[in-house]
Amino acid sequence: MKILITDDESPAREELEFMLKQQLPTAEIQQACDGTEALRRLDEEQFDIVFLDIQMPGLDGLEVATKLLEQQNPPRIVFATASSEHAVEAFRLSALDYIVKPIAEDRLQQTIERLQEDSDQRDGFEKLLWSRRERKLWAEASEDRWVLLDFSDIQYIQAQDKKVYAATDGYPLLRVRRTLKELEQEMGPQGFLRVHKGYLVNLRKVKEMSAWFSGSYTLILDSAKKTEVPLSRRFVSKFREATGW
Amino acid sequence: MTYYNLALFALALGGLYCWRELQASKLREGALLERLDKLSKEKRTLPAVPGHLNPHFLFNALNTIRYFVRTNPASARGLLLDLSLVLQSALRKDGQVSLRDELESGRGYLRLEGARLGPRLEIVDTISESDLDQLIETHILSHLLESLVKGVAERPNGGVIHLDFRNRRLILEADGHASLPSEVVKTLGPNLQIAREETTRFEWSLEQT
Repeated sequence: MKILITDDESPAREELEFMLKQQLPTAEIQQACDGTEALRRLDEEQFDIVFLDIQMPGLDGLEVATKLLEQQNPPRIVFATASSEHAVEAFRLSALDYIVKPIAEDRLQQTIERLQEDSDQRDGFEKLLWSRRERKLWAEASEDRWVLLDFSDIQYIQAQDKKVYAATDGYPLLRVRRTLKELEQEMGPQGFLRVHKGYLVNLRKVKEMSAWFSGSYTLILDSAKKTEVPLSRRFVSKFREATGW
Repeated sequence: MTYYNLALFALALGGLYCWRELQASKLREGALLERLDKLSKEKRTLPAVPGHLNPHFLFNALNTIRYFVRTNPASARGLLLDLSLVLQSALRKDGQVSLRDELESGRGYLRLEGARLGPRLEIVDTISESDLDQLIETHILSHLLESLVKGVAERPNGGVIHLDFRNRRLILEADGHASLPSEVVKTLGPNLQIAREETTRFEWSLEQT
């Protein structure tokens, strides 16, 4: 974790660095002595968190936060100041926390916990972004072997007994540790369509369709096994729309 | 007959005297009341400057002292004394106090701000220890110093505060722009001269007391 402490008072910076080091011994901590220096540092390298004092000569902490929010991937912001008068404005600038100096150890610990929760969420989000970009999905071939599947290799996704599987040509059904809903969101833009309560189908693989009963159909996929996937009545209109039927 | 006349005369004389005394005392009372009224009116036009303590200053000072407790306990002990001087001064009743006492807490205040701002605040104090028994209004000096420190702290590179006392004038000058609360300006009236250029200069001429 990389942290930038911004305060125009040296004792305040040193004290916060000392406290942070006690709680986060592995963190890389740097200091900036005013708003302008903070922005320059944040421009040069990526920080995870920036602690901002509010009253500083030149750019004050609120102005620094406003500028940071205009950036693509801003660090998380924690205000550390001697009075609570700017708290409302600080949270409007989506600050992660607002702490009042002198800072108590357990109060700082709360801030750190909040940071860690937030970074877990961000990691999850980044994972989502990576798989969307790369169009890949991890699946379990066995208890100790995993396959990184390309979306284009997947024929359909099936949910059964609260477990989710990916169907491919080369492998038997592979377990995927994700929910059908998540995958629908993630794979939808890549040509996967929900066709049944328990099925997400790769539209590029659909070859034939035959009527089943009471308005439902069976889709036959382009595979050696001529795999069949049900199209339930509920999803027919979406399927029509998507395939121009 | 003569006795009777004499007694009557004496009585009349006595009565006249009493009446005059009564009138005179009424006059004196009137004059006194008038003077009191005038005094109280004067007092109304000269508002007392209440003791104050900026919470921002207080918590920053505590935070600074906390740092020194860990890194330099001797400094921390000194700064705690300085803080108690500042608190004493803030708690003083409105009225008058010796320049010596006010200056002692003022210097304590400057040391605390110096510890907080580091090399950004430089103090040049050329006030000699003689001639400090003069009485001055309470709380004024702390307002003057606070506004000067604020002006310096707003400058990225900080600045210098000069303190001097010459010809019954307290002269305070600092880099930057310092603004004073209106009640201070009102209270000192023509006894305070303010000059602003690159620096802000306060000249407070202390009245004869």
